[in-house]
Amino acid sequence: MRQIDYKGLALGLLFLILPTILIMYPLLGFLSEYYALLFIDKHFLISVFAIGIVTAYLLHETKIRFLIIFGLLVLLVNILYNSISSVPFTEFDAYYVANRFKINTSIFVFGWFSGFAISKWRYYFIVFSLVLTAISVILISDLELSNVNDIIWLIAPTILYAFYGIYVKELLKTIKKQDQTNYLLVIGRIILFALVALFLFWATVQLLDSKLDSIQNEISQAQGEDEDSDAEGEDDESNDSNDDGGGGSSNSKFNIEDYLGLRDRLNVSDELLFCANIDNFINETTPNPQYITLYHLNQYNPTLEQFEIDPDSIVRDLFLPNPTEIPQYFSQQNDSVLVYDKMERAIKEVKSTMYIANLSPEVFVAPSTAYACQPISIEEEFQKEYKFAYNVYSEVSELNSAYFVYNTKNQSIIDYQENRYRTLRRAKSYEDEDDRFMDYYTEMPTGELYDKISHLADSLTVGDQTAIDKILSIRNYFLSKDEDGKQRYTYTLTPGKPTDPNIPNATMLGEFLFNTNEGYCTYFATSSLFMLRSLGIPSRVAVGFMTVDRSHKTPGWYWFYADQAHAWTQVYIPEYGWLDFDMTVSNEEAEQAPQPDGTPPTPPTKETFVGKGVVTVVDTLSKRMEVRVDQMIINDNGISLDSTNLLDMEFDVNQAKVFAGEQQISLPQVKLGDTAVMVSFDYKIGNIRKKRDNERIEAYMERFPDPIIIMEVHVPEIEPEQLEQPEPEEEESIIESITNWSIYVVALLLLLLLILMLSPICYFWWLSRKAKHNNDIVSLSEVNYKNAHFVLNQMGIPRGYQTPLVYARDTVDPKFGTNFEAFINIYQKLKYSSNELTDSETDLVKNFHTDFNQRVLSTYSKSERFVNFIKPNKWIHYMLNLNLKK
Amino acid sequence: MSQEQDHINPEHLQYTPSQTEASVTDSSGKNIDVLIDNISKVVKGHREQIIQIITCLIAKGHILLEDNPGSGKTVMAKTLAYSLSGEKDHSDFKRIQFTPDLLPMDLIGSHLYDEGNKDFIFKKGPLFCNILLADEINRASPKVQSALLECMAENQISIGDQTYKLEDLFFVIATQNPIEMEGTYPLPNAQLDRFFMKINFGYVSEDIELEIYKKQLEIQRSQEKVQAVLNMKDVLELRSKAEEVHVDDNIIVSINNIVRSTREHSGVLLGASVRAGIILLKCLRAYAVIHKRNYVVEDDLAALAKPVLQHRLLFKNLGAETNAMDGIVKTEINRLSRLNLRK
Repeated sequence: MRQIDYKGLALGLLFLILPTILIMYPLLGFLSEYYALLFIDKHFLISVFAIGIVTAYLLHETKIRFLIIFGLLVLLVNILYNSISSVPFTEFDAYYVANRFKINTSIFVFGWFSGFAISKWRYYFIVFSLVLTAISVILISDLELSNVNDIIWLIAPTILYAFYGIYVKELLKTIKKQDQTNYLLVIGRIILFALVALFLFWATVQLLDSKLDSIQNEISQAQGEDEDSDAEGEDDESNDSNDDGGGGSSNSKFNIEDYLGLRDRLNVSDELLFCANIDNFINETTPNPQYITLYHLNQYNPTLEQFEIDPDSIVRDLFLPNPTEIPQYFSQQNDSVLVYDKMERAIKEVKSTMYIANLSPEVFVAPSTAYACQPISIEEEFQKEYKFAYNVYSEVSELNSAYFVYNTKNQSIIDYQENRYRTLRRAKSYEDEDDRFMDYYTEMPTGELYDKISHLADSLTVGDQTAIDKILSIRNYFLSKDEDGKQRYTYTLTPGKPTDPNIPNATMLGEFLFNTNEGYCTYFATSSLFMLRSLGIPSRVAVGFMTVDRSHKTPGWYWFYADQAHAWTQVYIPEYGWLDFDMTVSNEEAEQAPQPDGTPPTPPTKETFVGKGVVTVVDTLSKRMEVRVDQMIINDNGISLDSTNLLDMEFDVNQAKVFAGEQQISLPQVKLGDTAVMVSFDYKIGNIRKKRDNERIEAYMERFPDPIIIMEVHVPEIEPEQLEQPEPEEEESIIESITNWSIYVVALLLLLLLILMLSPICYFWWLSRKAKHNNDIVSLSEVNYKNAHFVLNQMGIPRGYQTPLVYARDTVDPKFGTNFEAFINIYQKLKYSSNELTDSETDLVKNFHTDFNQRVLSTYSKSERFVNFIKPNKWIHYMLNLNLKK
Repeated sequence: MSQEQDHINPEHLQYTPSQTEASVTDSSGKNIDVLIDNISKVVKGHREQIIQIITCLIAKGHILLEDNPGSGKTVMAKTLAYSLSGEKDHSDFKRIQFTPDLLPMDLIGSHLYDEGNKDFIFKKGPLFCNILLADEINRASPKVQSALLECMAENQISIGDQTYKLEDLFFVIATQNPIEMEGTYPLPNAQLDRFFMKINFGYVSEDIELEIYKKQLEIQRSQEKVQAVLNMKDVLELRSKAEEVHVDDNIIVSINNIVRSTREHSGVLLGASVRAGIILLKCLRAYAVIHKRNYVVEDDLAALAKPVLQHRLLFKNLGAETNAMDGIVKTEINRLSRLNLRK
């Protein structure tokens, strides 16, 4: 065995391994903290890593083959893992234990590799540092660390470590060799590392470029609004609240967020989002359009000049279901919103039907105050245009109307307006209202600007007694003309940034009201909101869609395009609740080129039977389905069944279309166990009525056709991944099984390799044993012959195509000083002649084994001998040339 | 047997110590060593060829040397001849330079009219000798060549109704020149078959060539006074000894395998004959005797298979000519060396 260099080993441990462990310490801590590594303590992790690295370093420094040890390690780990996952813990525990084991194992293996590489691989430090840097970069991008200090603290130690490692490794090596340190080499390496690190840094910057850009944009924007660095965070918050409200659009062209705040420009598109039939009329012929509310904004951020949705709003009159989650034809209802709305008088129930085109169907749009939603089918010819449809039931005040700023010459509308103002003037005052409510809805930021707004409001409403008169005065102010006979206020999508350099703290709002008088809906809404609030009128801003009645051909039908997204003021009037008062002056550009109205979708055939339940049988051949029905709607009568007597019903789905969400699928794709909604439009069912009100459901059902012919089947939406690519999961499992198999194969190969490496040693022992215990001169010669060939083969001197005698005489004897030639002569004598051996020849044969082995093997050092013996390629070579058995 | 040139030189008999031991079984080997050394003194760096020639001598065969002029063929033959002593001081050595106008008579001899006895007497030609050097055999006409080859095969000469027996020890060393093929009569394959071996001399290694130049005078001198180290009786004794050499069945199988392989080899047009196998067997025995063994080992086969068989084969191309025999022999030797002792 080679003399172990204890000093070198200790130096390596101290100067290479210890810093590596130290550098890993914060990184592992970071990982365990941020990724919650199943509650493994970071100290435990680092000790696992340390054990790995130290063991590997010690083992490999003492010249032990990597592959064998590592193969055994992998095998052991795999066996352990399998045994752990098969031990009958509870499922939860098993998962955690197995995962913890996985994590610990990977950390250990990482440590092992590091230890091995430090002892064996010169360029390891560069690679290791690069890996660490890469991990740091991933961490930075993943955790969105924007603090420069954090970034530096993550990367800098790694880089320093790299320089240190490269230098010290070289130094230690030269100390060992008693050699001069090769500074040129060290410098070369450091430069190499620096280049690679630079490249990596550059790549990072490229990767994060877009992110940085957006951040920069926001910062500059905030500065434009005279803001400081809070902008980013605030903006994020508003995004978040937007998501919480279930609002927003999946459509990138249309972004409802834009209406939340005062900006320098507003981008709009003219895409059709949805169309609605609102069954609200002033009289038989004159429709009374209602604004479509998405959500209410109660809180205002004066610095950002932006509205926020207040999740703790004291009035929660917003019904926000997710229509796609409601089973077809079944309705979801929330009556509590009506309690908050506090409408007492002049209420009527309005049914609207919404046909969703390019809006996300998960966003619920409805006239306020909606309290029920019922998804319905779409007639086939409209299914391309509209992807979803639902009925909405709202409680609408008779006094609420989209008509306020926009007035038509229609006499009935003018009458209606006058009537409602009159009614509203008679409404109670705010004295009886709850203080908390009043405080909440009249809250205003303080400041010079808001005082100014207050003054303006006061001056506009001098002499007005009632709230409605004040509202009308403010509206008239926005609509009024200036001294030159021009419109005082104009609508523009690009109000621009504050331009007046004389006002240092110019705000968008102040600019709008007191300088430019140009803005879009949010400006008008915000201004009027603060004017009303300053007057003590509780009000809020609503965001949604402006309803425009453009066609008289299809009364009650309204089309909503993306540019109709809107913000307006809602005012609370006692007894009558929240009413829409839109102060926004008309957009002349938009009016000049109005969007066309479409053809209203035909309402679907009246559904006569709807059954919801769990699919038990899908017969794709005879096109039958069996469903265990728990809820039914028969001729508009909802029937819920007890869980104890669910009905197993058979349906004929020959003509049925199967929908998964909005997507039409084929019958075989329906999975057993899914909840399906079966819809039938069969008019025959419509004729079957209950004989008595208390007729038993079973008896009633017996009169139904069996099976019921179903036109539409609705099953839950298939997960996008599943629907689009059912293969990946399979692939994943295939990959998993492949990796499992490959582990086994690799382990098997390693085992074979191990056997292959150990078998020469066994063979050698076997030969020696045979030589010792054999007295027959012929078999002894045979053993000696084989032994000599084997030993020489393993030592890298195979006979090849030389004859044994030539081999012995020319190759072996000169090299080792053995008497192999003499032995070969005797061997050949035994082999090819019938001559008897002489005594001296017998002696030579008898002593040959030990003598030969000693002479040959003593030429090599112990480790060389060992390594030569276990070389599998040589052993295979020997096996292939093994003696023939004739 | 010719008795005409019987001049026994007692000095030579005394000189060779092996002479006295020749009758001892084990010591005859030493005589061969002495013979080889003796020739090696003159012909430097061709020990292998010397052994091959002696193998042929002991195997009762004849040898054909093929090489460029000046590679030592003639000197080799001469030295061998002088190293062997016949009844006279040296064995009877004759050299014939073959030319196109050479007639068979010039080899065999002819009947001459004896004035005294008024009768025709047979005047023996140069064939009646122990060692014959037939220089540039391919220059003679086929007639002469076939006459020589007939003598080699029959070991006797028939002229008219009379048959003259050649010497017991009759050894032909023929040489031929591979270059200057113009005006030559290349030996047909059937005639090449009569030669036990056809060997190439080749150039000696650089060291030996240097030594030859340095010690040129010395070599020349030793060439002039080559001393006989073996007598005819010794040679005959060795020949009889060779016949007693044991050839193991495995070796015989190997000979068979090699000969058959040449016939089946894809690069060989005409394989070795049965006679070739027999000659190989004879040579192996002689070779074993030279190496002081009474049994044949695989090394003998490795050394002899190519020189004995190569010139008997017709190859398809140059590649096969270079490699075929080596491959066949290698395979066979490998098989032999891997055989177990116990059968």
